[in-house]
Amino acid sequence: MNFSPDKHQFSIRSKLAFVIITIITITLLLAASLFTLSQLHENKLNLIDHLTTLAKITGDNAEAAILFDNSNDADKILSELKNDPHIITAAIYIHKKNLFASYMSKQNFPPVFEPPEIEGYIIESNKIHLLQNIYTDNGLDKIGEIYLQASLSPLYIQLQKNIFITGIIVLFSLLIGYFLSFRLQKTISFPILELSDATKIIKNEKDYSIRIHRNDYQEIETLCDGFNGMLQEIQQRDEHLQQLASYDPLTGLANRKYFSDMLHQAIIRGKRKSHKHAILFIDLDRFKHINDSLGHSIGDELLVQVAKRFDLIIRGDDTVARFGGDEFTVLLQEINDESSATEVAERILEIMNEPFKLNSHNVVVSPSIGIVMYPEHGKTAEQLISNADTAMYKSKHAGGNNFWFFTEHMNKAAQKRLKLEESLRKAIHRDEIILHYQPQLCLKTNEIVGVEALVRWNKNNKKLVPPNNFLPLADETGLIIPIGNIIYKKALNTLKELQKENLYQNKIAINMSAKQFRSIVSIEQMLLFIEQLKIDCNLVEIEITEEALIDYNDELISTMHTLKKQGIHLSIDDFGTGYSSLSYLKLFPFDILKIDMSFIKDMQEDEKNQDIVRAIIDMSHHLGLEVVAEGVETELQKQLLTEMGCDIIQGYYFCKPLDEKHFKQFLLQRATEQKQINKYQA
Amino acid sequence: MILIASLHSNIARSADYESLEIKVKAAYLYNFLRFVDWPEEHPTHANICVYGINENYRSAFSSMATLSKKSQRITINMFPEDDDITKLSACQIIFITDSATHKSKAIFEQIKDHQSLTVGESDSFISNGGMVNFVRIKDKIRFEINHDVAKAAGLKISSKVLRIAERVINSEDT
Repeated sequence: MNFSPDKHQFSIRSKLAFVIITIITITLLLAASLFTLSQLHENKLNLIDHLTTLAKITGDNAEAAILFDNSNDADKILSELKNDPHIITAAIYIHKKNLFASYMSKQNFPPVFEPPEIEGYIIESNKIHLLQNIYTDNGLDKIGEIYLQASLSPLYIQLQKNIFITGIIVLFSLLIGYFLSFRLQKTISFPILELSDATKIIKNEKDYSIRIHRNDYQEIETLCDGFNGMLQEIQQRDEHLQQLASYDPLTGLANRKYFSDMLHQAIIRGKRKSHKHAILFIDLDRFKHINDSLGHSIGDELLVQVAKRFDLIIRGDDTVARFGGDEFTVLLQEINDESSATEVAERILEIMNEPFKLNSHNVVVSPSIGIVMYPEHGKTAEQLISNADTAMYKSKHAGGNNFWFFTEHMNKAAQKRLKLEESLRKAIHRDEIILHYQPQLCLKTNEIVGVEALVRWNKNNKKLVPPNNFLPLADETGLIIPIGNIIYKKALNTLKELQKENLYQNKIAINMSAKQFRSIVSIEQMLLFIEQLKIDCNLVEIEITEEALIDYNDELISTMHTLKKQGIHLSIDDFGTGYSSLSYLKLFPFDILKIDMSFIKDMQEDEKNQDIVRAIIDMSHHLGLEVVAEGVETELQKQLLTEMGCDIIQGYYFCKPLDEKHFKQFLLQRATEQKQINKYQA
Repeated sequence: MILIASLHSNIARSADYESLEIKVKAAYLYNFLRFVDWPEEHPTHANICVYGINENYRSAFSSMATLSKKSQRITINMFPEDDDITKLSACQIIFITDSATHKSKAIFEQIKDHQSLTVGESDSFISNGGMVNFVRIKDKIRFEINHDVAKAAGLKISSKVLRIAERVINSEDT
């Protein structure tokens, strides 16, 4: 009998027990009462029977005494009734109510004789009066009457005893019933309690795989089935949700969350058993270009095929996940050393070598892989993934299609990068991005025909950071767009200012990043800005690097034509550093070609380099392009270029990049000199 | 037995005293028919023989002579004390009156092969071989019984009667 403080248990158990006990009590009391009453009635009848028999025997015994007129003996015979507890008084009458003999019990003094008028009995509340005829032995002659007065007290005393005993039995039965009820009610309440307990466990543990045992009660069976049915649906839904939550719907690989969980578990296991694990962080080189040029559906298809290839080379214990975008991660569990990770990385490079067939395109995509080892390169999943990411960046910066193991040094570099990114963001708001200007000299006329706006980072207004130290980062982080906007706005503002001050009337060349150039918004903003400043489009030149043309598409070409139609000049910058595809020159509507300074620099040392420069210049002229040589530093270089027919030079030989103030001074001085020359010539 | 009931009253010492006493004894003789079993089965006719009759007895018994029980016809046979005792051979009860007591032994001898209950009214009646003897105690007629003799004669006397006897000679009990 376990009264749990739990409300539910208390309620159902004790209610059932209460019902059972109530039924037992009512039944027992009713039965006991009926039994007692019927017993009383029976006992009265028995007593009457007894008295009748007693009267008959006593009468018979007294026959001789009556017939021989011996009342003493009759008295004696009657006095034998003293052994019967019921008899109060007894009397024998002869000859019509003449008292012949009598007897009285001790406690009944004086005796009261109240015989009935005729043979028979009268029952009073506490007495029975019985009158019976006495016949001769042969039964033929009536010789007298015997009267017995019996007390019901012994009967009532007996009844009291019986009631007492019955009471004890009832109490005992109740006690047994009470105990039994708690056992019996279990058969009913147990399945309900089980149901309730299961509900509690499921609620607490969220374990929907639990099922409830069915039992023989029809209603509860239905309830159990219904309950189990619901549980099954919840479980299935849970599993479905788990699937959705753990796997990438596109590739079917594990997702970032699932991978992190697996890594976390592997770390816990690794701690216990001192296992080594490796994490490979894989990023597809130039995936964005593929996505942009071939469309997202092709990009998605590529990811699916890449995932399939990865899946082929992975052991059962290992996990491949699509970490996000074109990033994949691989967890190699319980490996011996780095060589296992190296093997897998090499295998990945190998399988990625094969071109992917996407619709009609054959696409080659290379991976950059960063590898970390647990526990050497990190203690937590977050740290490991972050370091693998860093190693992957290193791999990417090293040209991609390779793998790098993480080193602490990378981490420092990465931190430095992060810091740089933060200060670059601040730089934009603090107006630390400034422009320097480098004039371009026409070799034929010896006049300044152009100026290139060159970006500088005036970091904390203390030192100038050259563009190579921050532009790649800006490109990666997307900061290149706001920086680009600053560059062309500042450049155009300066041009307008110089025009107003009548210092300069020629064109200005502005560098534009690939990202900016691909952004329609940027192009439209630029054209709008030119319009607002009322600048002639002929005075604007946009320089685009060779690299920006890789993964070109129709859209890019049409953008260039749009600009060209407006009169804007287009130049190909740093020619000779990238793929230097000649087909580009034919395909894009360039006006100007800028030979990279590395060729100019090498020209003095090697005749072959001179030949290359000459060839570029000749080819450009054939294609109708004007040629600008960058990085011209010496007189010799200038002479060589002049010989080769180069149109324009730019470099320290003539003038280094100057800030706005010095550029204006340079222009003023130049103008003054020109006047003197003109004057002299004149 | 209404008769008996009518006799139940104190037997006063009156002129009728002797007459009343004889009536009671007569009634008791009838009663003995009830409490004694004779070996013959259910005799339909019972003879009560009174030996040594006088006038008192004659009138007392005469008044009852015609009375009979429903199942049994009872005949009262009265003999004077000088009558032939051989006439007593067919009696169920033989009452030998006080005046004829001296002939008791002869009578006992005469009837020894018959199952007759012998009743007397003299002091030494049962010690002399009689079966039942009336005695008067405090104005009441009681009796004493020699059970040995009765048994020897093959008669069964009801315990009810033995119970109320003043004295019972019963060798088995002693």
